[in-house]
Amino acid sequence: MGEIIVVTSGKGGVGKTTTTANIGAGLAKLDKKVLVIDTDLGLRNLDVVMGLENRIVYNLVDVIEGNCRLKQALIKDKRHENLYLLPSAQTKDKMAVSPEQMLKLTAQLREEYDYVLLDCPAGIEQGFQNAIIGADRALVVTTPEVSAIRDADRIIGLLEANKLTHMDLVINRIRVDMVKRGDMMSIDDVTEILSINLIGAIPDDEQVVIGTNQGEPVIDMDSLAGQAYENICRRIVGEEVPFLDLEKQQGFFKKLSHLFKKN
Amino acid sequence: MHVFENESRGPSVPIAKERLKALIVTDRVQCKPDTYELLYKELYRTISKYMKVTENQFDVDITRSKISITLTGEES
Repeated sequence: MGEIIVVTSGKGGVGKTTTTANIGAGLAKLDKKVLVIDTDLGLRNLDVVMGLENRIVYNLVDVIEGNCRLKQALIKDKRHENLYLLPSAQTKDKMAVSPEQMLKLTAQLREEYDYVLLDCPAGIEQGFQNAIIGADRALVVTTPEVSAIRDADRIIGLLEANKLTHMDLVINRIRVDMVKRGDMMSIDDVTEILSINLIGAIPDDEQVVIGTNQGEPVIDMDSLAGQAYENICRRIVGEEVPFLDLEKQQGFFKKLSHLFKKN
Repeated sequence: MHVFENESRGPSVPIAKERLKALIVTDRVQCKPDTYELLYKELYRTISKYMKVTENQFDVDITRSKISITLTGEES
């Protein structure tokens, strides 16, 4: 029986979709059969981040409405054998799918996949309810900013109220240089305020932007952010992985890139 | 230069944490923004009636499920 994981944040633009794409790819790399679902109706994005936008024929709403069979709507990833995408609809509004329909769908998918990742839309409206209703656990994504952390705290409260208590924190876009000079909250600051288990921190890494430009998850590139995502995936499957020392590593990767530039 | 800017202005993290703490408490117990401050002061006054405390030792924490008062050991 597979596990259904919702990737959520409350605030938009903190990296939910990037996180979903990378963790999906990372779990597939660990030989798991993975399906990622874009539940953001009307604002489809996950397909673009994964570089699969040209292969879409059917979408989530088509599956729910019975316009096609589930298999017809699934898109096989370019790079990873075991990774599939169920894209969102770009034209439908967010009321096109009900929580009950999502619950039915996730129950069915659980039988076939080791992991199903749901990329949750921003906000706390119906799209959020749709994404969390069938989930066994949640990854709460935030950045070290006041507004993002505040929204993450509300989301944690809402998840608890919905009896979804298995949740872990992903802190995105950490900049060690700013933390060091006291201008960015540290991993410890954020974890202490939100008081849920930290599953990983992703450094602010140019490679993420480059990867998104190319439609290639950063986990497939030689990068510190990719390494951090890989560690999260291994923690999800139950391995004990020590946390990266971002301070040391960010310096190391910088030197490495200088070396390449010179040559 | 940026290096000096920080020195004259001081780190911004303490401000962020203070603002965040107030926001989160407000959200969690759905009260007015200054409620935490008022609650803190009143609890401090009440506690000091019965025992010797200083502001440095005293903290009030509101989480999603409880309100707790912490007294940290004797001052050295």
